[in-house]
Amino acid sequence: MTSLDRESYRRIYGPTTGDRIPLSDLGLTIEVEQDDTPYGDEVLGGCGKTWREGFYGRSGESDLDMLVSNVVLIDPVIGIRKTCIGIKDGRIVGIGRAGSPDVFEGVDLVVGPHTALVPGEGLIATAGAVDSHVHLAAPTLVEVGLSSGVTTIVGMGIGGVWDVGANPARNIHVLTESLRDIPVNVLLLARGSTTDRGAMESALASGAGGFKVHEDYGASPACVDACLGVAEQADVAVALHSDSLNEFGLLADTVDATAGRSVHAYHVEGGGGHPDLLEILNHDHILASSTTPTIPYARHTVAELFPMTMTVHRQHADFVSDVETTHSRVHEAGIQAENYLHHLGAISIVNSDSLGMGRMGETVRRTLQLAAHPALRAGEGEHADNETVLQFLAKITINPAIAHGIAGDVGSLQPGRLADIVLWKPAWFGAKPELVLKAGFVAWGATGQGNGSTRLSQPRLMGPFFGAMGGAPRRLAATFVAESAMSGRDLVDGPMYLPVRNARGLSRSSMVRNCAVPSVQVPTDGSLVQVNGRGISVPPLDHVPLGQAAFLA
Amino acid sequence: MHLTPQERDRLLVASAADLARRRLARGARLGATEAAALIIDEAHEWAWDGLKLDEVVRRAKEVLTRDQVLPGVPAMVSHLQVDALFPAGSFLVDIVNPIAVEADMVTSDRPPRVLNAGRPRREVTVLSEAPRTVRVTSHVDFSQVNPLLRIEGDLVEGWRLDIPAGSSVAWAPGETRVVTLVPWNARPEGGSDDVA
Repeated sequence: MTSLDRESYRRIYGPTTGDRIPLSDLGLTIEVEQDDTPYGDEVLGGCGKTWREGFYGRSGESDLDMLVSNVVLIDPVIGIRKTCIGIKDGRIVGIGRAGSPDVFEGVDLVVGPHTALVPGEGLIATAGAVDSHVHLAAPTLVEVGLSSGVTTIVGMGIGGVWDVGANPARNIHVLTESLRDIPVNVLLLARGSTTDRGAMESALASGAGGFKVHEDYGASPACVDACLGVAEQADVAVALHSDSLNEFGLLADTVDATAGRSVHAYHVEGGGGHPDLLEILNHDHILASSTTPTIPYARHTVAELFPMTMTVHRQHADFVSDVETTHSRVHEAGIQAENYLHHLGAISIVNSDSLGMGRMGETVRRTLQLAAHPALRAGEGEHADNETVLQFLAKITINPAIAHGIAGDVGSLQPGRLADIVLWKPAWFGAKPELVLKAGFVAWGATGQGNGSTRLSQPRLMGPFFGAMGGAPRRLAATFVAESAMSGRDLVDGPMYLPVRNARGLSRSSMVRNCAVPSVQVPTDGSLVQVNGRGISVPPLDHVPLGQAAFLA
Repeated sequence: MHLTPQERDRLLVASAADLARRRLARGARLGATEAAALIIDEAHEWAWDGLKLDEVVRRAKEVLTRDQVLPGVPAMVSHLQVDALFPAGSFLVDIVNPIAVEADMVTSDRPPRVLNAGRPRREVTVLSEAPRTVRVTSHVDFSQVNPLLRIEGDLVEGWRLDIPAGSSVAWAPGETRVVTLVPWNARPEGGSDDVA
């Protein structure tokens, strides 16, 4: 029998069944559970390699546009698997074994004479991250997001203004035109802090794909009720920053106003919302998220929150009341419990809150830092840390996609989805991607120096590939809108529009690998939060992985 | 200055390397980005001074030790390439594993990966009458190889070499080799361990 020792096999074709892969400096290790390609028939591109005439088939309708070969796929729905990813017309059409059906039995992905190859051996593939809380305060955040693996933005605001929504119609139109040439999917949230249903309906017709209810504009029970009414009608999601002042009612009054209708509750540790907001986790119809500043809980987390909150929420040091209010919004015990509740699976989503109390480039890395938290992480299971990695990856891919009604298109590498694929070297996993494919075309990544003789020539810079240039993004990036808007006349021309679907009727059990509904109780005196009857105390981290080893600043 | 993009990029390396030197001077350990910059920066200047290319590579591997970088960094900068301007022009400096790590002494007692498992095999004797070396790779149909390879026996259409995918076998002029062939078609299951 012909054979190859395991290390040689791994170096040539990439890790396979049973191989373990350490992820950057996280201290987390994944194990490949399955390999779809029989040993001996691997796709390799290059001189004398298999990706040549004979290996691929004759041209036909089923030819792929692109193949990502021999990659280790990490997907919360699919699992951890060595495979090939087939792409046609911008979407993933299959994962599995690639080649020509003329010469191989059992080929899943038909490779034609002109199929493009992304050699994936030695690389990890994840779905592009979905950042479901982005204040579009400045365009600088776009390249930062792409350089960290974010390919979908749920955005609000229009930049340079005081607004938490994208609205009204003219502003939505101008913003949509400005965003259509960047290789990132966008779903704009309009301000839902109103009881004026007409204004909200107009925003949806003009290109918004959901709503944000925010206390800085009004989050009274009446607003919550009115906004959810419009959202139910249109099948879009509502994101909620509730009333931290208890001005219009207590948390229970806000929950009553939701009347069982699903809501995406932002920053549930309580920094933006009722001081006991964590108790909203007791309700199954609430989908909860954390923002980047409070995860993982670390040495300076509490110290930075006061000035950050004062700045972002336009508080004045001259008002004693503003200073008191802001101090009351920093919940150290809540943050500790929040970190724990992620491991418990009760908080299902992480997002950045970029430029509005959060960091655009840190959604992916902070989520993984929390996954690796030495005091909280579960021990290795049958397949190393696979379960932990899949649970935390779900929080930044499939779960925010489900919460906003876009999981049919993004958030997973399942067939049928847009081929928004992030490729990572394992040593850099979670820090800096190697390549970012947007709808099946390389759009971003580590570029070689332009005068280089090879593509590895230093300095390699995170930046645009051809999929980010000219008019390409209009074919590669979607703008998600309410389905009813697709047949209307109020959308501007240019972007690829896709409808939001199945954003209503969601519950915690809709969340992948993060569907716990614990009993949470927040004491009024700031003492430890009780989860299922136990006080939760978590020590702050002094050192985090995916930190100074990977970034020079 | 008429700076070109590649000159501008060289300055990025220089400023990142300066940051690395400042951190080293304070006794701090370097991250991957500034560690790579420091190595590349030194390589650029040795090239500028006209050292031989292999000498630049040799020195580049002595710029940093493992103790001067943070854990995980050697694996992150395992391969650096830079196009540097020597007095004789631009040339590629290829630096593999610039930060030395102890050799991985873990030897696995697990069995090797079995290739082309469960397939029929046949041996054929092949004589090369070609005046130059002929190389045949794993997935070429053996009925289509260079006609100066004289294959003993029946037609071999639909068969290929039983060697790892992407590797090859060479015939020197006049050489005879016995090689094993397997049929192209494989069972449809995915790769699995230890199936003989």
